[in-house]
Amino acid sequence: MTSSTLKKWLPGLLFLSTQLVNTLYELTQDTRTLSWAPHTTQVFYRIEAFQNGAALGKQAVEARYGIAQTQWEAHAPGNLRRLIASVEAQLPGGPDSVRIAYRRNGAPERTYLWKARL
Amino acid sequence: MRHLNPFYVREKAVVPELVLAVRALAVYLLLTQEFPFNGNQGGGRFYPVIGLLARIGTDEQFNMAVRLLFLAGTGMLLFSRFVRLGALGAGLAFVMGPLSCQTCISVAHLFTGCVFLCTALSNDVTGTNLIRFQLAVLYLGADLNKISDTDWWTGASIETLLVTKHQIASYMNAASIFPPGFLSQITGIGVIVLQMSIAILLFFRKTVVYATLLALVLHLPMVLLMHMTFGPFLFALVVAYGSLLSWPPSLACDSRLHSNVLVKWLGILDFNDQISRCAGHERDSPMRWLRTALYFLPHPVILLALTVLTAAMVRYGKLLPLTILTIAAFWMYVWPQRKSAAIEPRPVS
Repeated sequence: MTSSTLKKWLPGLLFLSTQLVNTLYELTQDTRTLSWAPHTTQVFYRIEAFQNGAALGKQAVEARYGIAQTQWEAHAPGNLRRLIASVEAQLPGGPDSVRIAYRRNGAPERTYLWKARL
Repeated sequence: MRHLNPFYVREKAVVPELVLAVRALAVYLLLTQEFPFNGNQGGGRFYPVIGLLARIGTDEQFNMAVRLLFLAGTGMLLFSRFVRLGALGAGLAFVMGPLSCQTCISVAHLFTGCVFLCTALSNDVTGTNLIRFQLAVLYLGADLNKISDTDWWTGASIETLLVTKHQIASYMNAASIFPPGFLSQITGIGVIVLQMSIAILLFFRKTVVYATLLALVLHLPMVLLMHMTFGPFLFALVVAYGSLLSWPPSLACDSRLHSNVLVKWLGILDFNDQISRCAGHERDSPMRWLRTALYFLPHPVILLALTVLTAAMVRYGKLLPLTILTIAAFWMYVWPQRKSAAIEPRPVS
């Protein structure tokens, strides 16, 4: 392969290699972002947010986190945890705690709890 | 000036197969309104994965910029000779979606963006090979995710997808014949084997037709069972596989087989000097029209017509006729090319 041929291949091969490396990296994480994981995981979740012990309404939860309060997430449970953490790190006026109850591929329910720092 | 004509596919920096593929994809996306921050991909920037993207302008400015990037990119790839630059704009807009909006993460949109970006990175040396390797990376990545997940080996993932989530009656009826969970386990393992086989076949140009056959076996049942096309994913797949077939620079009419009238009409819209007229004047028949449509399928006007037809069928939920049309096109046009698939596409001046 001549150097001019190599130059023409290089950008494309780097682009494809980056995808492969990122897919392998995301396999070690609990999130799926730029990963080739189409409908690999089915997560049924319910988000509840609490302020002074009282649960926020459905509309308030959905407006704050941008997703349905109870729904299917087709990527990974970690995507939900990351979303809650991002919103609470940046958006003021948040709840004291957030609880995500979820079932991954029909497995027994698990819970993730986010708590505001006092 | 002729580069303003979207049917003119010669004299570009990439091979005609890629020009036709991204142009058909752009038309489909515009017709179905499936583009970044539109339709299923959310309304705009929302807690980006990359922090830097949160600091660029207001939400309105950012969202407008992404939409304009897509529209400018598609405009450029359709109506100019700068197909790669246009594809770069459209591709970046698609990748910007999941990166700048955590609730917009979509493999369908990511793959669509990658088809554009692979075109942007292609040239006269790489031909359509980057698209071929992109498909291989897609199936390999998807398969690695499944291989490493116990739920795909036990069938729990398929069972949740088809029974609990989508409650597909035909699948549940079929599953009831077998012991509980058996069909889901077989289906899950079958998907793992199919995806790995497709990835391996795609690494060799001479076996792409066989990879396409396995891809039909993998994807079409999902379309019929789940009654969805996964946004722009399936059409992006079709144009990606389609681009791996050689585009014939010349198509000669055989007056014993083809319709003189149809070829004459196609000749009026022949901007690539691709068609040679019929010599005789045989009587027309529906069979001649079918043979003509099949033989002249690579004509840009026929490809555009099929793109519009597909968008309309998806829009009105006619997925069964669309599936039958796809199988017919494969059987009559793609499968006979299995012997000639090894030929590398070359730029056409």
